[in-house]
Amino acid sequence: MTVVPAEPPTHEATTSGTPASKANIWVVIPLYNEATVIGGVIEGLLPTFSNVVCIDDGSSDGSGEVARDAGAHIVSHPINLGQGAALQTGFDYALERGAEFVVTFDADGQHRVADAAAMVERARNEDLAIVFGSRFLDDRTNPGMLKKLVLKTAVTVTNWTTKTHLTDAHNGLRVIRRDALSRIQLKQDRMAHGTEIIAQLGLTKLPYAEEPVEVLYTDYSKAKGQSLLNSVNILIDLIIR
Amino acid sequence: MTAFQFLLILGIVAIAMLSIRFLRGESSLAIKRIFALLAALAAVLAILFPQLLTLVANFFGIGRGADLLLYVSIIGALLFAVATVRAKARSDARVTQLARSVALLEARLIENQETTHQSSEQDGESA
Repeated sequence: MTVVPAEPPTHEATTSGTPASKANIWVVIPLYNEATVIGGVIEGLLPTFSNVVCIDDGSSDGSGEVARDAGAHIVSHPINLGQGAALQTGFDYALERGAEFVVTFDADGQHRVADAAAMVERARNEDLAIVFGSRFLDDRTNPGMLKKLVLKTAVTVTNWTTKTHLTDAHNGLRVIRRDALSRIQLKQDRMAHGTEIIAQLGLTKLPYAEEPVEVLYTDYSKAKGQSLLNSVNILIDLIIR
Repeated sequence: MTAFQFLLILGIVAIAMLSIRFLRGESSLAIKRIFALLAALAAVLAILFPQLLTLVANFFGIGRGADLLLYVSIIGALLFAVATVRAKARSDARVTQLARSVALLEARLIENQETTHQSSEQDGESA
């Protein structure tokens, strides 16, 4: 169980200079050995989102220090637990600090800050509890044949098992409102959390939507992306739990 | 198909079901202990009366008692493997919760230090 302090620390001091509408938004970034790119990602986010927290998941390359120097809050897992566990830690951290919205964002720079800002705006304007990013709603993103096949298989299985109607299950860019966030408890430490998060959000029956986003396939993110073998792990993790 | 083949298949199905999500906690432990006692009893009987084992094997359509022993051992080994994997998964979940609590606690401590540091600096300036 998470230990909740009697008086959660507030961040009025750090957020007083920013527009009130952005003060209670937290960007949660699971961080594992991305020292070469994380600094740039945080510098790109900070002008738009003042609260950025990186969950350093036992990195061995000093990613945590780089992120701290770039101006992010850091929570350090003492050992490597996996991306799903890092996200849940970030959710607990943000809720403790009174977050109204959480934006999940990948550390490797594959998401656009403008897309994230648009998704928060949409959640506010249309009173949505969850906005999922999808790379398959327009033709900006070109993942390549094999990757598209893997992602489409994953989302089909996800839609079967969770009774949702999404087009992109493993997109790291999401906006989740506090009420939805407080009902999530991710148990899949490894990569299957993409499906688990949708399953748990689906159970809340809260309103959701998908927003077209662009995923930037840099050489760096291509080298680190999910392989076909990894999607086998995702499927088996979902069956045996 | 002999009767024993049918039983073997039943055993495999049972293992598969257990491996997904069946027994939990105390009842699972109790059933394991009952099986351990029965296995010990059966082993003692088989040692005292080897021909009994062959009789049982013949009843199930197997020629020798030793063969029966082999098949039952395989089932036992599989059950053990599945139980171990599941126990490790539960243990991993506990480690995750522990590590998360430590990480969040550390973050809180650092922030408290920073805020008290800042406020004490401000006190120093105003004094």
